[in-house]
Amino acid sequence: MIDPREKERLLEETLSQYKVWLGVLARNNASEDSWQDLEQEIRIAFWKSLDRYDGATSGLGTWFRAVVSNTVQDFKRKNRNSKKRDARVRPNPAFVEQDRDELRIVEDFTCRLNEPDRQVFTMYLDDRSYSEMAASTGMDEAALRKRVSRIKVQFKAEYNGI
Amino acid sequence: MELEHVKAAWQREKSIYPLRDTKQMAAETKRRAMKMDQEFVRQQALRIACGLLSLAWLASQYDSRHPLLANAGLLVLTVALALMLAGSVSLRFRLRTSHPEWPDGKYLAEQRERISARIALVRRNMTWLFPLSLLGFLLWQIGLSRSSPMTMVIVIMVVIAFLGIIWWGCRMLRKDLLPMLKAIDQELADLEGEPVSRED
Repeated sequence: MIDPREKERLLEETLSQYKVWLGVLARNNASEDSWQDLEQEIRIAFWKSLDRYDGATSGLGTWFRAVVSNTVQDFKRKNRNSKKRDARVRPNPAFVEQDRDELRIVEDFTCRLNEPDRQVFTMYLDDRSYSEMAASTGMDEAALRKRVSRIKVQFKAEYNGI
Repeated sequence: MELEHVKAAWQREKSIYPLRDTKQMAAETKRRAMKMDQEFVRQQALRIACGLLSLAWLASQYDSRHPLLANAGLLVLTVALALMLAGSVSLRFRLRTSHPEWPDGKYLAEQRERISARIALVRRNMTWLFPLSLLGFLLWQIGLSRSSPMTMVIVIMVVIAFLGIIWWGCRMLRKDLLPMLKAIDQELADLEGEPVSRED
């Protein structure tokens, strides 16, 4: 059993790192009425799962993403089985904006990156400077520039023509 | 699509949905998780208390001077209700923990097991225990040979309630649990790269 204070620290650390991504992901996968429910379900599922986190089997980021992925699938599955709840999952037409397609690409692309690349990519989207990224990740700036450049090439290769 | 466009969309999204404070989000998460746990315990306690009270009331109706048919009916009703209560309470405790941190396939298999357990419980109740308890109730009332209009009304109301519960259980299976099981099977098959039969 994890120490309660350590558990709280891990929750705060993860939320501070992924809260933007989490919000985007919830909005990509639920309607305007229910995305906050989905976001909350993910946070609670992650909080409960931290009781079993030992840090040895996987990194916290990988752990969090597994929780997110499985909770999103659960949410979609649970909400598609009745007409009433279907209406909550089906995106409200007013909510489908042009940006959603691009944000769904962000979700899709981040899921395919490895953990260090994801972290760098998210910080890049957040418009963080290389010095800030270096301070957060512990990598040097030259390595970060190289990594961002590689991510850009990978992105272009995968989504060119969309 | 250019990465710069995606970055711009990300920035617009951030401006539309301002971020909340991390500490506040964490505190809210803990509070809600704790509330959910408390609610689970409260509901379980209430379920057990109501179940035990009903069983105690039924047991108090036993009278050795009553006809054998009435006592046998009462016994069947009590045992069937006790089995339903035990099954429901133990299943809820069993399903309390899940492992969303597991890899997709393993987690889906766990979810499948959970849904299957719920389906098995509902089927067992609908096929055996509810009809058995209804039979027990009818035997009990017939054995007592009460023929007042009030008793008849109560019997008819209980029979209607039992049939309503059976209809509700079957509907839950058909509309909720079985489609969910099918969706999980489909997802598992997709993970393994195999098509799954669309037949029910």
